[in-house]
Amino acid sequence: MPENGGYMIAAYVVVGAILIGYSLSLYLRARRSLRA
Amino acid sequence: MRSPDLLRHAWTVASKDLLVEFRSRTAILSVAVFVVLVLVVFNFGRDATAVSNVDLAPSILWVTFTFAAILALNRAFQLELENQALEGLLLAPIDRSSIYLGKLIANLVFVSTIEVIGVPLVALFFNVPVIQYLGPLVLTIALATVGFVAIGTLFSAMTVRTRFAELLLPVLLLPFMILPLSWAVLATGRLLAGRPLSEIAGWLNMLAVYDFVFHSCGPSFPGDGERMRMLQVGRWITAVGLVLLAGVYVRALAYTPVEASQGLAQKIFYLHVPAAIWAETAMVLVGLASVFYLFTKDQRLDRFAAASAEVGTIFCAIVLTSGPIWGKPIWGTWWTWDARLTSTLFLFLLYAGYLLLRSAVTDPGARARFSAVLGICGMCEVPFIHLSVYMFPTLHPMPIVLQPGRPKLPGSMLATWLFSLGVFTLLYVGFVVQRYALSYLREQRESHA
Repeated sequence: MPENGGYMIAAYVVVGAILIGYSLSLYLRARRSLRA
Repeated sequence: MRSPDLLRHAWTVASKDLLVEFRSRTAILSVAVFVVLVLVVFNFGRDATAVSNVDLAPSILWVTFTFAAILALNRAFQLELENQALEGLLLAPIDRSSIYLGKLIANLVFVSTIEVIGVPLVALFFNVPVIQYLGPLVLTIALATVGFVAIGTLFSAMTVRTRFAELLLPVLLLPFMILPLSWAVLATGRLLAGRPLSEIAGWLNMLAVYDFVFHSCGPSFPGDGERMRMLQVGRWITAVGLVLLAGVYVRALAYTPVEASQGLAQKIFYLHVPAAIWAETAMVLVGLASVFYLFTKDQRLDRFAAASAEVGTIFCAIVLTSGPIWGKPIWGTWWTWDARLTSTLFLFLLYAGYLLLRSAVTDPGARARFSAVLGICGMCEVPFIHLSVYMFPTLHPMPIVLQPGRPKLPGSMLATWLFSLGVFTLLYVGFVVQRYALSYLREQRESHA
């Protein structure tokens, strides 16, 4: 079986970062709109 | 509003609808006849020697329920259009949540009645044993029905005053019904095949999560004065989605077998493919909302299209980052200019162009019109992306789940993939609801400025 677990970990980290990052972006944009 | 008042008002609305139906019985009789006709058409439209009744019955049962439920949901708010009764209902001194809840109760009673008629007919026409599995079957039907009636009532309220409401409701509703329907069909199929209850527990859990989420977002959706609640519901759905995403990680990494030829890198599949499905579906929904916007000029459709496009961009970014990370160990290269990869990159650039166009045009009417045209063009590209692996020589593998015939995946891998698809669906809904509420807030700020 090929040894390529590092690629899998990298992909899971990147996907998690994108989704959490976008969630934070929505939260911050809404907060800014509410303050304005 | 206090809960007892909410429930009392909801029951008043529901009992009014049920009384109207009880007095005329027109709708229920029409839908009952429709159910019989659909089953008869299915009976003559199949080759009994090719597929056994037990294999076919779950699909027939749920397709029949879906069509009948859409007919029932369409009439829920259409009923109020006669003699401007909807205005009277909205002017009544009751919370709009209680109107939604009342309609939901009436729809549940209506759809359940159709199902009570449909199940014995399927058993009779297709000779499938249901009596010995009646308890679990009723539980499966109840869980699926509660979920899709909740989201159907919500969309019925949103579309009632649009032109083509009868067409718009199924167009909006069906993409959201696919998941609970697939879980219900899988659970029903295993039940009728005499498999143990433990095999369907996972599908029932997913149906319960679906019900929980869509019942939470339903009462908060309609109404211009409820932006904050919509925002909070969106945040809540997103939070549940992110927690469940952690569950997908645990299940995929610890409890799903490793594929022998590709090794651990194959597990990227559980994130890459659901993201790709929603990247494409989001663009289709942008296009459909745009078509209806051009006919109706309903701003809610433009807001939805903008929200779906932004969320689609995020899912497309996931596809374009996870794909090369998967491709490097398997193909030996991060990127190759083949049909699927190139067309997915085009989709990302199309999303980016759509968002840039929206930010560049200041007049709201022109912005909505121009972006609607671009959204429709984008929707037309999606079939080419999906079918590109059949049309051109490519390194990208053929579809193994969304393809004619049975999915070419072992059961545990398929279960993990479906779980992940459900979580990505939740995240799409949570993100779109938040982004939609954000558009509202921005419009409010612009109007004050």
